[in-house]
Amino acid sequence: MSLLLLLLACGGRSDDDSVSTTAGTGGGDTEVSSIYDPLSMPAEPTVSLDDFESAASCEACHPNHYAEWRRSSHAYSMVDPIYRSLVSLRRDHQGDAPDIFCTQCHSAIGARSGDIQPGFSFDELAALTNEGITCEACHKVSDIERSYNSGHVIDATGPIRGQITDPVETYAHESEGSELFEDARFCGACHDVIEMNGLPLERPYEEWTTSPAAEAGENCQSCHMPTSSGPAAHDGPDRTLHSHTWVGVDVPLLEGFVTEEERSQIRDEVEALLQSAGTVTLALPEAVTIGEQVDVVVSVFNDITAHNLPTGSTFLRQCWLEVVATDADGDVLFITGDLDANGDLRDHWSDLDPYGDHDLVVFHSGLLDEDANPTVFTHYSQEHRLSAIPPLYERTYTFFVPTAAAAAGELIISARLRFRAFPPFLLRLLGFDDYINQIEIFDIDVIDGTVTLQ
Amino acid sequence: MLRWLPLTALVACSGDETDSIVPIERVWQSHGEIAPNISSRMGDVIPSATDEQRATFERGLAVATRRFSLEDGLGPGFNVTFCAACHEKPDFGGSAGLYRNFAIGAEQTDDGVVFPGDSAGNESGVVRVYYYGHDYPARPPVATDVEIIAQRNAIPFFGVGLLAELTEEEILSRADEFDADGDGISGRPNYEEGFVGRFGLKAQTVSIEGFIRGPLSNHLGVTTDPLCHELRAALPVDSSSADDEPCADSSAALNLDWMRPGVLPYGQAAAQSGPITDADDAPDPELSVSDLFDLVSYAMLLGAPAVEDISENQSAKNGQLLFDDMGCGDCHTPRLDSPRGPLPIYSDLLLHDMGEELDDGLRIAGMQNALGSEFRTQPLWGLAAVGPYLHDGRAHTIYEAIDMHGGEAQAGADAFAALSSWERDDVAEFLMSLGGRDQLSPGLVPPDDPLRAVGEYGGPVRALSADEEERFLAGRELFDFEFGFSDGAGGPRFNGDSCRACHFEPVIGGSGPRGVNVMRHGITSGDAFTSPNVGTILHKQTRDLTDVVRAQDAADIFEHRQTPALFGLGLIDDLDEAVITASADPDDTESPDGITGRVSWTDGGQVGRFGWKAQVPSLTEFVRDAVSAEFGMTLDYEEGLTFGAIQDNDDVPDPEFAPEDAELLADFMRMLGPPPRTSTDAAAEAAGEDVFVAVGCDGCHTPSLEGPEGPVELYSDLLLHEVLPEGESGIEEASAGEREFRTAPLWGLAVTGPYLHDGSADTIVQAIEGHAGEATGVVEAYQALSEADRAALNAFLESL
Repeated sequence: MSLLLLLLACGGRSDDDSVSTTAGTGGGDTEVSSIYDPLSMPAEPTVSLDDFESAASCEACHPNHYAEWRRSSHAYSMVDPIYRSLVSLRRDHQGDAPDIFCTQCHSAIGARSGDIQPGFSFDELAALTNEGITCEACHKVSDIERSYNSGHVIDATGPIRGQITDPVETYAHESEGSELFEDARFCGACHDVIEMNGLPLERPYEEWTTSPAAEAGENCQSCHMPTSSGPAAHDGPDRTLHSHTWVGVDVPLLEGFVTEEERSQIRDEVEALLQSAGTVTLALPEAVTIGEQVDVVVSVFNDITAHNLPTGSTFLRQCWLEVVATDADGDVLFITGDLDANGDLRDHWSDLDPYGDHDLVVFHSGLLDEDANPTVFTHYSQEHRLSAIPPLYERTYTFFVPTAAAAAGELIISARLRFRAFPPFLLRLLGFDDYINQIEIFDIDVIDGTVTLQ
Repeated sequence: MLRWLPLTALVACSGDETDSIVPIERVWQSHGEIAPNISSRMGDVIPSATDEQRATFERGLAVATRRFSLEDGLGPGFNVTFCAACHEKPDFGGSAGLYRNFAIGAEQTDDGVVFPGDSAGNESGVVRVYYYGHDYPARPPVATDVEIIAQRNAIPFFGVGLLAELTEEEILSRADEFDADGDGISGRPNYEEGFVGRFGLKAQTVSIEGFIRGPLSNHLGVTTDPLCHELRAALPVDSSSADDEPCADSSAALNLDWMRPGVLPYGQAAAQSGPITDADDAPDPELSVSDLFDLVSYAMLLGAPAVEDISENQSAKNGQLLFDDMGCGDCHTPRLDSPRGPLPIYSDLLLHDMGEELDDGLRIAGMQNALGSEFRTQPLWGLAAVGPYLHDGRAHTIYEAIDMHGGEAQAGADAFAALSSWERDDVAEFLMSLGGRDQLSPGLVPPDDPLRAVGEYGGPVRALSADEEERFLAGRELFDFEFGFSDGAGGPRFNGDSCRACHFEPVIGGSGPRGVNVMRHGITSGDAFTSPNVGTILHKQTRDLTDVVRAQDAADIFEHRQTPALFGLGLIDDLDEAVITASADPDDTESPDGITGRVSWTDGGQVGRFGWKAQVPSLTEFVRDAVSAEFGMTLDYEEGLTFGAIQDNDDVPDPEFAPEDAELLADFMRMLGPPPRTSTDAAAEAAGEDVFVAVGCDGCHTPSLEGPEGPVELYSDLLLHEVLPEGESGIEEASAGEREFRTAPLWGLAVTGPYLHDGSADTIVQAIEGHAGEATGVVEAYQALSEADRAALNAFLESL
């Protein structure tokens, strides 16, 4: 009954269905004149919720896959409180219509089935919609129309598709092998996001296309879906299996989403992934006369062959360099990349010491509004500037440590490349003060060196 | 509108025809006769000019190409330093690439009134991107209230004197403001001070003098006084009227014997009164009356582009028939009748509605009666060589330009879109035949420009083999090539659309005047420097043609960056890193003399050697850095290289710049010879060299560094030194601090001014005295020198 009402409601809006495509092929200057997109945000439903099964149904035969997925960011995509908050702010700022934009990837089934309508409430959505990127959101994909903004073609009534080319016949569902599942474009269809005004926001796929990894024949799945061997389903033959945990940089914040044990495991996996991402090196003089400055040369290498460091929603993430110089008495002579009392970097967003960290090096995206001022809201953005490190690029920075007040002896220089998923100022802005202490700062790499002050 | 049928041509150009297919049996006929002695190579004087007028033309050309210095009165706010900066393509008097676009900004009140935005004290609406002085930052701000912004691409001046001669009746004869004839094409005149406008994209100006004085003020910050009555009467096209100020002494300023070579006065309106003063220290007027007279005369004497005879060109003939069938000629009137006979202008000089997409929103007073969507029909003569097209240069090709026509011209654009590809090619061929084809080049270097000799500026570093010579010339052509938005340039910000855009003084590959300065900016907080969120480069241009580049509110320090010359960079590229690091003395302990010298460590841990802050380590990386940072284009990933962007945010697939092209550019620069030493007074130069060493210039300006092929006499140690005064703010770049700069090489000094990182010094003397910090002692020693020693030093430096 609720579905019928939703369909009627949709029909009532048909005079407004000035359907147009999304932002071309990624043009920074392409205007999108409509909130609708015939593929991923249709004005009229193109699929029915009834044609999809819940992930819970899949669990019966694919318990391992289900278990992996259930703790993944794909399962988290519609319940993530930060995402929900950003969607509601987008609605508050710009009205109902644009609020469905993000859902085209976060719940393709919800966006295409009419369950999600402008002005929607997360709590009133169908359970399946809130499963987010559920099993069938991927495994019913029959084609890739474009490699951004939910570019999958979903064959709602078709077979379950996967990378196994000789599926065992089963009563549970029709099966079909598809090469798409080994194609980076499959991931790129959502892991490449272009804002409604045409501004590219997240470019992991685009970054990969020009990367050394692509040249070497490695794709997203090669790293983010590591393989193992075993049955794909109960009683099935041994197959090459792909992990469905998709470890990234997020540890779920929502209480109850995973067990404490799982949370700890995810945290360790995130740390391991980050520690493989970059290398910091130091070049120091052996000795310096007290009173002269010490030139500290720090290089940061992006060890990732496939995309930038960092990548994805780089306008929310923080990846930065901390450099501290401590003399023999333990006095700090120089520091950059430290945090203010709120836990924020001392940059534009610091409430306590804006632009106070003159040497701060941050690898991230800057979004600029129409007056060229920084913003964190993508819907206010007119320009996107990126300082992330391209794959296998090395950035070199020189810092000057004054030694006039230094004690003689060993000067210890410590450099750390640090990362956190969300900065405190953003969490405060979104009203999530409680999460601030849960966000861990990971050290991607740490290095120390010494200079003799004489 | 009234259809004009030339008596001399019986072309069947009925607007009733909607069929785009041209019957093969259609008989082509020319668009008609052309007045004699009006056409020349674009940039040359009109053939009808008298000897005296030719002399005036040459003097006026010298004014048009004169680089205004600060002492001359440049600024304080400006966009360019000389007239021909924007009127350079294919030769002086013409148009310019996208990199010369400027913006006009306007504000709208709540009740819909649109008025021009202020820019560094200029209220014309022209946005000025440079400022020298204390009232505004080096990049003057554009107020956030200025929300209506349109860009302008320079329009060519060729043949404007002929347009000035047209009678008002001739222009008005085609006006059909309310489309009384029902053909969908209206066309109305614009008026300035009651006279029919004919110049400018909106036909907003009636007077060439006004059209020159305005930009002199708006774009150069150079003030002029309006010409007085007798001088206006003496211009190649008599521009006098009863309202003119009489000349105080009509015989004194100029020899007017040659005035009025048999033509009647055409009654142009008085020139715009315009601002006659500005806020800099140079006395007004900053351009003399005689120079202004010569400049206006020069513009009036520029010949019309030569329309080709297409009687043997089947494609062009077919294209002409299609042009007529599609109704293009309804606005692009093939001939206007002038006192000299028919002009092949392909314009009615009237305003037409060009539709919503092209609407620039500028309903401001300076545009007179024109609405935002209304533009003057752009004359098509010389079209081939004056791209990019349309008012803001958005069209890179003739095809794009036609496709982008809207409003009254929508039907024509639709008809063009419906043509077969060969028919479209025929139309383009016809348009290419309207003049300029023989002067078309990828940039500004004329076709078949010869290779310069070894030892000349712009010549190669050594005698080249045939293969090397071919590569050098190919590299030079690419260096000159202007990239368009469709190539991926501007992503979304940029400074130039070619290498030559900035590096052209005194020849391609050189330095650039102040009008192509790069702007660096930053945030000073607690007396220290912080990089803005966008990085320190504040670009000049944006591919969003309805916007300007603004700085974030927190940015409070802006600094010019003078374009350094590229001569001899290959020799610097070849230097071993150890040669540079050997003279480093970061703590002044190696040779305690007050001079330090610090190595600039750049990305990848390489020794920086290029750029004002030694921020780039090699020519290969320099190309990558410039392609990305200045053009906004992307390159391939290449192992071991860490400069240049490999993705950007425009809609052109990455990489946009081919690796072989990047290599070609680097090779061109590797082969580009060092500045030639010259000598005019060997004794003075030798004495000057002794002074150079005696006062200590050589402490940083090391005469030579040892290269693999022998000494490289660049007069630099390529190290960073603090040369700004203690306490002065500056920009941090790469590893260089606020007050640190790389020792600038001195070779080629005489021809690569202005000087210092921000171009603040007009002369070598000013440059020397502009040194501070570590160089303070040297400057004091210099100031203690005798006049003779200083002169000798100057002679020596100029000989480099």
